[in-house]
Amino acid sequence: MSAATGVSAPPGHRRLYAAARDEGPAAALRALLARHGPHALDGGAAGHAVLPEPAGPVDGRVLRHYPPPAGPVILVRRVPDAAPPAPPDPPALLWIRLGLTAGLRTATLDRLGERASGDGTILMHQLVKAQAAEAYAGELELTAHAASLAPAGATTARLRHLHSQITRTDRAWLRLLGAHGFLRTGPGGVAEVSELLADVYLPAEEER
Amino acid sequence: MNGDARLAALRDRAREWGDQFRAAAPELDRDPDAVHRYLDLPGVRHLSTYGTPREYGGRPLRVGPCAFEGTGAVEHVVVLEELARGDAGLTLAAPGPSMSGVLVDKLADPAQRAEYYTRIVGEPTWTCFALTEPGHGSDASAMETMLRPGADGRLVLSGRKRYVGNAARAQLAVVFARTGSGPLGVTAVLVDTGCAGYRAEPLDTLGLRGAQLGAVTLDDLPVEPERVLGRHLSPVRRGMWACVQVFNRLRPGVAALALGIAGAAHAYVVEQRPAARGAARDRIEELGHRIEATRSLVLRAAAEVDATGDGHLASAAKARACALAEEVTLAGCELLAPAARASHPLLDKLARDARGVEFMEGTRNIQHLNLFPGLRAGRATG
Ligand SMILES: Cc1cc2nc3c(=O)[nH]c(=O)nc-3n(C[C@H](O)[C@H](O)[C@H](O)COP(=O)(O)OP(=O)(O)OC[C@H]3O[C@@H](n4cnc5c(N)ncnc54)[C@H](O)[C@@H]3O)c2cc1C
Repeated sequence: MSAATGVSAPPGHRRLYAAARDEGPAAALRALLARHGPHALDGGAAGHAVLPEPAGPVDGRVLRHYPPPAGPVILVRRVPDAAPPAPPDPPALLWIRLGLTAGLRTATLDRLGERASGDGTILMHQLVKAQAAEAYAGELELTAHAASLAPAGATTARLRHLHSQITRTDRAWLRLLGAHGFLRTGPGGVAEVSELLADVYLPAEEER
Repeated sequence: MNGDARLAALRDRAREWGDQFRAAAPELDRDPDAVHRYLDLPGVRHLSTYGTPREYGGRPLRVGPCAFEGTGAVEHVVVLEELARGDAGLTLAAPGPSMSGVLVDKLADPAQRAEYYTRIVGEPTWTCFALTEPGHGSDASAMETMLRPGADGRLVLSGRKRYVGNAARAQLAVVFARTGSGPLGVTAVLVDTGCAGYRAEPLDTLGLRGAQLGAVTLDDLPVEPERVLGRHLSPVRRGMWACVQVFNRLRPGVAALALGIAGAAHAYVVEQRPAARGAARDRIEELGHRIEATRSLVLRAAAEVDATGDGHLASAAKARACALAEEVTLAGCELLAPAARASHPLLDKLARDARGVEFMEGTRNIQHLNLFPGLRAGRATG
């Protein structure tokens, strides 16, 4: 059962979801590679890859490094004549990102629940409660939708919509985290890598 | 020349400066210390003495036949939007009075002003405004940093501040601290950061990296009583009250920074997709209209601050502009997919920067809570 009450990640993706939620992007990406083989992350739609470190010999140029807890993860621009990428596993990416969202939610609730404000904590302000509940409701909807997605239903348009909503849900948690979520070495850095995963692996919506 | 033409001339000039900022942006994003290489850019020079009164050597900005004294919020938002369109990071990284100057203007006595502005005009001088603490951000009045009487007639400052822009490079800091309990027990002091007891370490932020937010430790720092800002004023008029006044004055500026980020992302998408058709074209156009709408609000809010000092419209403008910056940068990434953030470093940077303005001078929630009384009183409709 996922932390989003009542909704389970499908058995095949449960481990990825839990790794993302509990350990972060690098662990989840390693689990994906363990499951689908070493080229499972090579299929970035424009020739990029997001890889957990240590990545072994990289077939391309490393563009960026992301430190823990988001990483260690690297963004790679694969060499143009590298072997054609294996097709990515779109639902796996979705469950990894949803796991990261669940981790972000926990980090935010923990922080705001401890942060003094007036006579109580920030979390207990009505406005904050409502925003947290709204973000959570969005997450529940996304998780339910992802769980109900048949392979044929995972069209590019639907995946783009789901990923776009995951990003917006994460942004709601990030606003609640305050400036703490703006540090690279905290939950905001994890959300950054989550956005990068969608950016790199989702194809464009339409003919360009 | 009428007011609109004056502002248009100012905007054109600031846009030229902003274009130079854009060229510096990638380097500053990688290495915030690179700001030292850009001190001679005209936009940086403008910011470095912005708002300095004439009696202390401040000089008006001349654009054609127009002179701008640097005292109005409207002219400042025009300049800030254009500079941030170039790079919000460099705009925040520039030396100069920035936030601290508004507080000095509000509270300082003649001797304090003379000392402060002499340093500002003498050489590029970074300043910072240290209010937020590790445990208290939105609820800044709960601050724990203390200013106590010391043994030798001096005062002693101790505590910690966090997320303070330019903290590690500032030569002068205004630091808020408690002298007693309650809202009247808050005061601000002018600190020379070269003093023993001041330590600031840069924080590794996701965006607005030029601003180099810092964590400050104040370790029994000695403060001369003459450095207490507003010491000639009643406790009611210094401390938190002054802080609120400063925020009212500065908020349209933060809105302008957010607007500049949104504008930059929009312009970039337009440039990258000149032949966009159908839904993509409609979306790009709509984002452009939204930027125009928010700009109108920001300008009105600034005019209101200039006319009355009232900050309600400014709260609305800040909340709207920050939401817009986030939305336009996210939309930009979607419109330039696939791999927009991986392939377009400028857009990636704008998407990161857009997240940071949300927290400056009060989050969206705090702006909405500020706005509500204005709504009830009918003030926000102008
Ligand atoms: C780029 C940048 C520049 C900055 N520059 C400076 C600077 O120069 N000097 C300085 O002193 N500080 C600076 N700050 C810090 C900034 O002022 C704080 O981040 C801001 O006040 C919010 O505080 P916080 O981050 O601790 O969030 P918190 O106060 O912990 O808030 C967390 C969340 O709870 C919400 N919340 C809190 N209280 C309430 C409430 N009563 N009702 C409803 N919602 C609430 C907030 O909206 C937010 O979403 C800067 C921050 C950034 C990111």
